[in-house]
Parts: sequence; structure tokens; C-alpha cells
Amino acid sequence: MLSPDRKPNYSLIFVGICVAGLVLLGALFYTLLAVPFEASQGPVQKIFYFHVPSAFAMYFFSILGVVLSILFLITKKIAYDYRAQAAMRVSLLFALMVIISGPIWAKPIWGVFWTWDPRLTLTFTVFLILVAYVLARRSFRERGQDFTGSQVGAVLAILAIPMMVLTHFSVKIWRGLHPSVLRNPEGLDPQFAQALQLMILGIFLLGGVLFFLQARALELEARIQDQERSTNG
Amino acid sequence: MDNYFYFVVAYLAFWTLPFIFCLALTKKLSSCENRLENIERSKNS
Repeated sequence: MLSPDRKPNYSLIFVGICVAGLVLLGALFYTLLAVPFEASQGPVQKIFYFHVPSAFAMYFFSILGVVLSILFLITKKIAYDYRAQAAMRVSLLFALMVIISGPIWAKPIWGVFWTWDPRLTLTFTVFLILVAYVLARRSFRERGQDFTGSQVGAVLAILAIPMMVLTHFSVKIWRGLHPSVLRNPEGLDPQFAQALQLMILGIFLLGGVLFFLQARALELEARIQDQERSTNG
Repeated sequence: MDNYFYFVVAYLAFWTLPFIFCLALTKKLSSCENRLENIERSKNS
């Protein structure tokens, strides 16, 4: 299953891209046309439908990256490392979406793009850890120290976990400005909840496809580098 | 009106970022597959 030489089934990945695209388009039309505006915030509240799923995807792919990094540290199988890197990169993409969409939503509601609220600060810290991970991996690869890079990367990925847990519980612990809609005792309106679930499905499908494409690209890059090294050496 | 502006900007960012990422990834993947095939072909010949 983890053989680096096996060519993936690209037609299956293409089907995955189409399904993810269709679900996302469906979710987009549903949130834009069928779900009514929230009474107090108006149209800008619709950012919620991808801001929250992006945050979930950021958590999920980071945790996946950490699990794969631990598997790599235990087994030393390089295929786990490619997948760990891919998961962390996909997580970075979703973190970027959270970091971009959050301030755009905050400006009309809070009056400022950014405030050092605990949830925002911790999310930004997670984003910085993910950036550090990607840059560290690239830097080690350019120096030809792939194995050291894999180990440093695995440790960095594991470091992200306490930050994730703190980020998730920060709303409860410190009670900052950031709301905790999903824990609201009144709950979400059923229509809002349906739109959110549809968008979560679409974003996770998209993340899954990106994860497989990214893992394959990393694996091919490493193989090209190996081939070139063996030719030159 | 301001509210609509922020809503449109956020949706545009959401739909372009993953699209660019996906496009860049597919392009990179196809160029890597071709490069590897060429290297292997030249090694075998």
C-alpha cells in the first residue's frame, strides 16, 4: 500500500476532483440561494459556511500529519513522510483560508480586522508552526539532508498538537471575543446546520484530493532527486 | 453595502485559493511524471 513505486490511479483522483467540485458547488448555491441571511449580521455571516469547515479541515489534516509523522519515526518508512508532508501542506492551505476569511468577517462585525483575542492569536500561532514546517522541510531538502529534515519535520508537527488543543478550547478557557456558535445551547438553525454540513463534506473531499495529489508530487520530486543524484554521482 | 463588499471579497478568496493550489499541483505533478519518465527512459537506453 505504501510502495513509493506504484503509480496511483489518476482516473480515480479525477473522479474525486469532480465529486468534490460538485459537492462544493452544490454547497455554494445552497448557502447563497436557499439559506436566509442571519438576522443581526446580514450577508457577511455567510462567511461562516467556509470559515468553520476550513478550521475543521486545518485541525484534521494537522492531526493526520502528526499521526503519519509518528508512524514515520517508528517505522522509518519514507512513504509515511511524504504523506505527513502532504497533510501538513493541505493543513497550511486551510489555515491560510481561516486566517484570510476571519479578518474579512471580523471587520464589519467587530469594527477591526484583527484583535489579539486568544482564539485568533492561537490560530495564528498554529499557522506560523505550519509555515515553519513547510519552510524547514524545503530548506533541508535543498541541502540534501532529507532524512534529518524528515525527523525535524516530525518533531515540528508533533509540537503543533498542544497548540491545536489550546486553540480549540481557548474560547471556553479565556472567553475572548471569538464566539463559540457550535456550543451555543440554542444550537444552529436546521437550515444553517445543513448548509454547514454540506460545506464540511465538500471541503473534506477537496482536502482529500489535494492530499493525494500533494503526496504523489512530493514522492515524484524525491524520486527525481534520487535518480539525478545517482546519475551525477 | 459594506457588509456585501466583505462577503464578496471573502467568497472570492475562498474560491480562488484552493483552485490556484489545485491547478499548481496538477501542473507540478504532470511535469514531475514526464521528467521521471524521461530520466528512466534515458537510463534504460
